[in-house]
Amino acid sequence: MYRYDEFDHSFVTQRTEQFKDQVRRRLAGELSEDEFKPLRLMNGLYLQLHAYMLRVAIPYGTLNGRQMRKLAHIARTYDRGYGHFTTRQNIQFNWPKLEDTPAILEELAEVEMHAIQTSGNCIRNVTADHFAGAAADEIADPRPYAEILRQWSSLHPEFSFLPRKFKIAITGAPNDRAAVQVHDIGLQLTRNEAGEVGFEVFVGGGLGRTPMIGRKVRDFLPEEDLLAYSEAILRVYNRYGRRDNKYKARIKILVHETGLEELKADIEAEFEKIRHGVLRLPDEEVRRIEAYFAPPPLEVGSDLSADVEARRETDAAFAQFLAHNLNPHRVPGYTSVTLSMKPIGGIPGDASDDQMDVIADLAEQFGHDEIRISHEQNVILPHVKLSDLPVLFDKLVAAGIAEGNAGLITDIIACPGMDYCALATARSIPVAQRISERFGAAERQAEIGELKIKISGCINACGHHHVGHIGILGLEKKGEEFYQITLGGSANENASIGEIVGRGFSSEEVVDAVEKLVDTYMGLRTGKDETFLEAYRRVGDEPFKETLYGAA
Amino acid sequence: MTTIFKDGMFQEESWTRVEPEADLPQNRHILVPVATFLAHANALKNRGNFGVEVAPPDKVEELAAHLDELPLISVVFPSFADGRAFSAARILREQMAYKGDIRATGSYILDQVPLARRCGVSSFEIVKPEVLKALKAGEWPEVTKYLQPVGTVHEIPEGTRPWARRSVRELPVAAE
Repeated sequence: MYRYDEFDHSFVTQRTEQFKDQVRRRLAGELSEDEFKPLRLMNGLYLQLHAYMLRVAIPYGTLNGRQMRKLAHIARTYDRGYGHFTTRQNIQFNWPKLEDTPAILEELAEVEMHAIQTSGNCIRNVTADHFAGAAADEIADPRPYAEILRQWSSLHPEFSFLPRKFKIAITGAPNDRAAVQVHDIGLQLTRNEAGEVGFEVFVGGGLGRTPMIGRKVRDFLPEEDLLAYSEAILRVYNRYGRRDNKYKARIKILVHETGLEELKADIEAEFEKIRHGVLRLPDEEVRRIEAYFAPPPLEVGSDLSADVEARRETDAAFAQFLAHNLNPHRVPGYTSVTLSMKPIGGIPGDASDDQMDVIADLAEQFGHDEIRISHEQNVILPHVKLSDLPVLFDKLVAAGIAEGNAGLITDIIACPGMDYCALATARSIPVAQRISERFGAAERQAEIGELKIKISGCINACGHHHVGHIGILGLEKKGEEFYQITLGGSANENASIGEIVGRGFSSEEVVDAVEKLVDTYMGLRTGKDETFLEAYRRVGDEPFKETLYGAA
Repeated sequence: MTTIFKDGMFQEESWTRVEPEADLPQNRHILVPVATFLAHANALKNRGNFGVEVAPPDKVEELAAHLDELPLISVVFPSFADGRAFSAARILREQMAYKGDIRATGSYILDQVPLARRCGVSSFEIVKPEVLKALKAGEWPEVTKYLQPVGTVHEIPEGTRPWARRSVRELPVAAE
């Protein structure tokens, strides 16, 4: 993974000092809360319902054991003993004191971490496929490019006061696990006919109040143009994005209102002016950054041993774990293991200090000291030897992070909702917990198969409900929470926005409604290999409407 | 009178802002909107003592034919949250090779001063008393290591990384 040199250390140290001074000025009354707000946000500090919340960056979701242990320490020392992994592959702490935040940032800087640009109207943490560098289907590792983008965008003098936040995601595999088409800029690594690496570029995707799938602006952007082209997009957005209404300020609205062809022409015109300038990526620099992400030395191993196979026959939980929580590795004998942060009935994405310590230990012991956070709020050990699976599994069970539910109905994404968030209109976490309990039986989940439920507690859609196979949006009417259901969303390479199925449901009714949808799917699927999403796309919403609301 | 911060010095200057469509007052230093300038370019150039004020959504490109005769272009921050002036300044310097004074004005905050300087702003009309106080006290809240090159001001390459730069000022923040 990327290692700081002296320059990076100095950069982060200075940023910490700068923030310390901003906190001092705020506490001294030299900055109004209005003026302090964009400054603290640019360093990941939110004011929530009950307390400040600090969001720490985990660039493209990659970290090591030492860093994870530091996060555990922060949870234990400055918070209430836990942290929450987010859909931007970051972690947030829900209960820090304002006056403690400089100390937290100093501790983070010791392990090459920070909270720079985890919020605010700037370029946010660049996200990437959580199986990057390990997945069998990968064209190229997206992380070196994510790192290059991270550096370029850090404290960018021109793009720190954009109309609205700006999110970039990049994937190196044709199976898109990074949801690139619902980002402000989505990059899909690809090769041209000459075998050179470049990017398919999407612009203007996003969720929130006005969900949109990104529009393709380039079939093949050469590697060397990555930064110049990104700067061109950002400059066009900074100049012409709407600033009169924060809900219409994302680049997706600019794409929509300007029209794709005109905006594309604006971007290309800007790019023409700067493409031969200082931002052109030198090949040696890409290779230098790439070297940081060189794969660990992995000896080709063998398939699952007879012992492991035997245990699979007799141990249902182990079998379930093997069936769902492993992703094919490019090296035979290895796998990428998903540690589920979705225990049945638990809070999606939460991890205790002790769990974080265990994850750090296991990564060092079994995973070449590499850890990933997925945007689905789970933790990944990307390089695990198949023969280590039984002993690893036992340790995960002891830590309560061994649920074999990755990609299944209880692997729910949920935003913090009204339990924490000042913007929420309804609770998300309790709904996720009740759905998880309803479908928690291992056999039932496995029988249902791949089904992504995503829950947001308000229309800002932090829980990505628009791209859930089943999406749930919590709203409020006359003081009561109610939940609107969407069907057919997806954030992969065939991205789609879910359609509202009909009137909403009360908190009491919503889990029953989900169960009816699932039962309907089970009744009409052509077989176990037709997923919920495939079945929905085949039959449309009529059968689902009927089961929820009766025949029209 | 208003305080101008330029080249590390403070000076008092008097500028009259001319509203769109208004007559041009004589015997005063005036700042005119882009549209006014374009409508009266020759008269203004003959008159002298004027600057052009670029307020969003004005496009700096409209000034392209006149740059050599414009000693001062002011870029406006309608609020600190509106970062269009940063792009305006960079385009003037990097793409249009403007050599005159670019002056930031409006509701910017102290923390934006170093950013604006990197974008090519060369002087600041100071409206907010706390900004004046801080600058007079020598505060310069900036991370002096840069991770992206700009073509506006001279910055010193650091090591062998193509985009690592440090400030010529190397004015440290509080504790370093």
